Amino acid sequence: MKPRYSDEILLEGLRQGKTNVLEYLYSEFTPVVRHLVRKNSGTQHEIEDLFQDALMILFRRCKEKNFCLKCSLKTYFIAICKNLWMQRLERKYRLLFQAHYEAHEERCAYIPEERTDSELMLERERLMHKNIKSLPPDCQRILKLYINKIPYAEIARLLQVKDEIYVKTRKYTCKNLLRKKIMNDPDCKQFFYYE
Amino acid sequence: MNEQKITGEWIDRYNEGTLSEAERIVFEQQLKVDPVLRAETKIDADLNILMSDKERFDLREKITEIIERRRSHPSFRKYLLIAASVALMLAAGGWCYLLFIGIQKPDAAREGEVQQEAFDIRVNSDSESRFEFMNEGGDRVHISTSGIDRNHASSTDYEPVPEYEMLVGSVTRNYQLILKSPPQEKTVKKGTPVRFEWVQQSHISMVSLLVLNNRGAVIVDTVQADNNVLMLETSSIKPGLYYWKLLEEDNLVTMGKIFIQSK
Repeated sequence: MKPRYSDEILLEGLRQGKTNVLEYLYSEFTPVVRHLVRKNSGTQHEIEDLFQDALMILFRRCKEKNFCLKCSLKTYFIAICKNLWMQRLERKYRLLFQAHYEAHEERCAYIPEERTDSELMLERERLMHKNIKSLPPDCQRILKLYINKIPYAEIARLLQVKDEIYVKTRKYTCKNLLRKKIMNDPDCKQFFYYE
Repeated sequence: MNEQKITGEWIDRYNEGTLSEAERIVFEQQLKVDPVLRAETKIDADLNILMSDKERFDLREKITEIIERRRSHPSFRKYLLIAASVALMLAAGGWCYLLFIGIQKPDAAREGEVQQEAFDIRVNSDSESRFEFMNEGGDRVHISTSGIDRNHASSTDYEPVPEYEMLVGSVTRNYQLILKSPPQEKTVKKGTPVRFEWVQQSHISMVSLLVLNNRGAVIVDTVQADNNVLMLETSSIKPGLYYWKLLEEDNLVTMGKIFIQSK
């Protein structure tokens, strides 16, 4: 039988990044996201991207000290998705953003913050992450260890390489490769334009 | 003044603040005039922000893995939907097959034509049925038909049998026996004999000719040894479509069909 989690357990699991909670959220919330996106002829990839970005917003919000859920978690998540999706449609297709609620829908106090919940920022972040995943395995490993703030000397020991200077140089090479990938990625061009 | 070449590493070190003063001046001068360098430096700064938030980075990593896993392994519900679609397609295909290609019963009017004496069956005193067959030597060979279902002892029409049609004209693995005549499809008037002739590459102990009507009933079942010719008399066979099989020691060599037309 499929387990059911309360909103509190889900939020706590999300704060801790627990995989089983993320799996549960994916199973439960994706159908709603799918319905929202398909209404505007969206694709499966857009469904997945929207889910991912909305969850990142929820993650950031639920870590705030004064975060308080005034409706069900699902309703709140849907409000995030709608807002994000409309921003995306507006940016891509120049549609006028008109928030309208269904008659039976619960109003939820989700107010997007332009600085942190910007659709543009989230998409850029996701695309950068996508390009990190496309790096060679050794580059991914070095960058992940670097992100985890592992000292260069320790990284050298873990990777069984001669010294930390080699690790540092390798890290620069990998980042250089990553930057080139991003600059050559057609999806990224709209975010990283240059005169 | 030494020209210093700006490398990719300079971008990292500029954003880290670890360039020397001289390097920084050179770099910033280049930034003013090089839009590609500006863009790359900005990307690097954004990457640093992304990679500085370990929790956020890990969360994206986990969500991406879940999405990719779900993409490659559809849910059980999807499997059910796929299975149901396949079952529906198979059922529809089977229905179409039965409707357009399957069994058709003869018309009521035609049923009346099915006679016991579809061709001349001589009934001797012990009720054994026979029919005529002539070999090359001109000898009339009488073959017992006591095993034949007489109710279906003739072709009542020219309706093809799909299972046999597939085999007409095909030659199986047998190369010891090569058929010279008749052709795979032959039309004759009733009464015109059909000559079966073949070439044997090596000694074959037994060659059989099987003739069936389009109901699948065996009309002729004869065994020939030594001679390479058989004549099929059609005077006693009712007009219709018949299939013949040439067999070498019970192995099918080739198959064909004969249309016997009324005079």
